[in-house]
Amino acid sequence: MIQATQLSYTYPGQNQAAVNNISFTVNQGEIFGFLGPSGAGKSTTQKILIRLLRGYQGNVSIDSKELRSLSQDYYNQIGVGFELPNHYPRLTALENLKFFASFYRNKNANLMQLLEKVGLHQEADKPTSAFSKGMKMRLNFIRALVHDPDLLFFDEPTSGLDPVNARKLKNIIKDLRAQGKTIFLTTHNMHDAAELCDRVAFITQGKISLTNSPDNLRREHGTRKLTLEYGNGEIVSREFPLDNLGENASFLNLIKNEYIQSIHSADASLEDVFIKTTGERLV
Amino acid sequence: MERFISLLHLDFTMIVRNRILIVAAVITALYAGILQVLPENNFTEVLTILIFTDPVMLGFMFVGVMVLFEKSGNTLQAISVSPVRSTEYLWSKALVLTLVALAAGLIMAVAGVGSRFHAGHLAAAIVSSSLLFVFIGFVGVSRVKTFNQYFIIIPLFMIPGFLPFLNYFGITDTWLWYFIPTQAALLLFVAAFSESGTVATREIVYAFIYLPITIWLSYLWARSSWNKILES
Repeated sequence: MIQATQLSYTYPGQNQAAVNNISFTVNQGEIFGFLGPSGAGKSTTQKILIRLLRGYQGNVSIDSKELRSLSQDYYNQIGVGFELPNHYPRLTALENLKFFASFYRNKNANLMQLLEKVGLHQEADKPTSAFSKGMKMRLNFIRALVHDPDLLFFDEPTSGLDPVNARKLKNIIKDLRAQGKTIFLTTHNMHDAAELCDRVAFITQGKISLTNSPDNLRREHGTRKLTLEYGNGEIVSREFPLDNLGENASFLNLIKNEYIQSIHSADASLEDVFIKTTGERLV
Repeated sequence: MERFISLLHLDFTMIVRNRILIVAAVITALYAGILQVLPENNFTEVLTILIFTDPVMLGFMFVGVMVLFEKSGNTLQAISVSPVRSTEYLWSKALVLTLVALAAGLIMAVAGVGSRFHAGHLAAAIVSSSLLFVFIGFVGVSRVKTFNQYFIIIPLFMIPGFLPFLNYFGITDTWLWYFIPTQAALLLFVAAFSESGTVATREIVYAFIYLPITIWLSYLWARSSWNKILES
């Protein structure tokens, strides 16, 4: 779906490239996460892909067509959810959606249904100036969906949301993937990335250091051991190597005879892997 | 075309909701009130300058305000990733503000001289002045980030436009002002409120040829500033 090759971008007046010779592929129907700290080049890359920044070096193709050659019609195929709210404050939520929906070729969306999906249907006729940041972010999110695009870009979609609403949005993102949509997600939230993304790319200082699935990364960078907690009164914790676990008499004896509290493998968290790989923290 | 009509609808809604229309109505009422109490002496000159400044200021000021509202609310960013073309964005605002300027100018003319004016010349003068300054307003707003900065640069763009008044009031007598498109608009304003033949036919012809050319050039200048508008 997206193929970026040796992509670089330097902002006018800057010496250092914000994005420096990166290459990546986003497959049809997958959620691809761009994971990195603030200023790493995530948003710049997204701005190139949505054609807000034009003077880049390298090549980007969307559905095998060079991005530079695409017309304004490209925007009928993509939906963009920005990191910051961007609505007309003196228009209601429904008016905001209606006006934007009217710009697209596909006008079949049920806007009230979209508002209901993110819990805003009862606020449909309120001006967005009266909305909290979380409400505006939810409206941002569904505005990207009003024309049912095949390719979606979300920049920190759960930023500023309470856990309940963040969960709603994450479930919608998973539903979109199930419908075959391709999603490019930029975030520094490793929990969102681990939960949602089929693959992630780590980006720091404009360079991609690693691309893989979150599951593979956690396994590859974890320790092959598990921690067993057991006991009824005093809880005892013991570690066992995963190798030959089925023949480990001590382990087998414990799970047969003791009251088991928990069993955890020692997978690395995505943040652990990020720090280990890039030497930077996700802040 | 359907998308352009949607955009016109949006821009008209926004000038109503942002109270730009009310401000325009108050200014028009104020000017109309001034015209009611003006003495006979130099009446036509004052009427001409008032009606000339109205579309110029409405165009330049209000397009800046509209774009800066959209920039500060990040809605411009949202529009720029929609199928709306820069051409549609620029012309939609230009047409909506020009319609407001036209209505305001005609009301002021009626308040000043009743029906004793040449409607065709007046409409052409208002429409061309408004379009010209809306597009120049886009260029202006592409060079600033805030309302304060915009207000500071207004004189830079306005003063050249008012130079032809030096000839009009007899302070200068130079053909150089004929390169400034507001000279052409001013001739049409004068023709609108004068006896037939006061403005020479060749000057009317010059105005009707020169204004579309300069409006088109100012539009091209505005369009070339589009990326700056997005990035500033």
